Amino acid sequence: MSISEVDILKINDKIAPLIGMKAWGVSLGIGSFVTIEFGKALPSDKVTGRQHGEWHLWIYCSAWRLETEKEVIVGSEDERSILEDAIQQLNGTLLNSVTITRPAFDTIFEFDGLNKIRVFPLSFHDDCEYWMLYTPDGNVLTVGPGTSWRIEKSSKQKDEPN
Amino acid sequence: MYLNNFSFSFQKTASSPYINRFLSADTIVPGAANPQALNRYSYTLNNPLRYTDPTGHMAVSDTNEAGCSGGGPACIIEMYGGYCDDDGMADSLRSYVRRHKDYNPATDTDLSIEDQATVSIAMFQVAADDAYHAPQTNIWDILKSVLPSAELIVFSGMIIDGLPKINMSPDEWSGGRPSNNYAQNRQFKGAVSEIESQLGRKLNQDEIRQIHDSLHHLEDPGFWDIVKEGLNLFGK
Repeated sequence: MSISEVDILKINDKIAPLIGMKAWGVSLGIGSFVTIEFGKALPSDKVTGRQHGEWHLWIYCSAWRLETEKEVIVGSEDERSILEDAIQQLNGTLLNSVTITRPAFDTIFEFDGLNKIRVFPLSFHDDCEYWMLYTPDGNVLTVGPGTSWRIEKSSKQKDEPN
Repeated sequence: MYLNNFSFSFQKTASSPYINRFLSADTIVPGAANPQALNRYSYTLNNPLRYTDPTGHMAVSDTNEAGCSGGGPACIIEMYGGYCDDDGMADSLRSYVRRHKDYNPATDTDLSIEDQATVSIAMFQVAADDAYHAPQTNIWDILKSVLPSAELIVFSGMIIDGLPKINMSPDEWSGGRPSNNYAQNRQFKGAVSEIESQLGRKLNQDEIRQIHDSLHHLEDPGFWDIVKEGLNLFGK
């Protein structure tokens, strides 16, 4: 099974409203997880106290690099202290484009100031998702693992019918 | 980790061209945390076609592979062996076996018998860690379950016999942050699976995000820190 152009188009459709939005709340999570908020701030979670945007990007089980046209700024296996500092330069910048390519859902999130996060999966026969985008309609777009992708209610229990 | 009392490499030893194993034990420790390095008679991580050992102390990949697409233990051993990253190999193997509860190294045809034992040791460490956090579990029952063949029992017995010499608690095997960022990502995924297993249901994406958000107050969350946090949030 391979990723088709139709898959890419459908994912692009889902992402399209994100283009031109300002990144905020950029954060390094566990390991090399990166989360980026877009859109209006939602009320803080009552349990965790965390505040998310209407759109919440979570780079999950993928390697990534923050780079410009000319140089690599950091890679996801660099020291976390270096990563934490480097990704902050995305705060306040506009997302200019998202480019997804076959055959492995490599994804480039390009921001103002020529910064890009280039996301590239490392494992293809595993159960770990590559990246996720929580959207204002209560859905989450999940890309990976392998050639799979899906859109589902973020609050949906996995064993519930669609 | 403190495996020095137990590990050997193989400087200036004689090697049989037929079995590619060293006939006498080595004198220094090439990679203390790599269970494969515990086999004091193995040469170049048991992959002489891929690695060489010019110094007598460390296996070196001459293909310089950047990664592999298989994702299983054979891939992990090959990839981390290529980088001589023993901690990364051990962490990744433990992460893999945590997430693949039904995996049986004895039936994995991609592994040599020594590699099967390497994975079994990772399984043993995970099982011991689980037992450490659930004291009612009989560790010897777990041990029997993770050593599926007589050959592996014999081989791993060499290593398990040495465990009392190791100054390392089960928490150090899987608590705290793995040695690379990607391994910690996968540890989080494995911990989510463990939470789901204990809850008897799948978590939804909002809940998984909540667990991740709630870990921000922890400086260095390990596998069981994540599990505990998840159970606190949604648990019994």
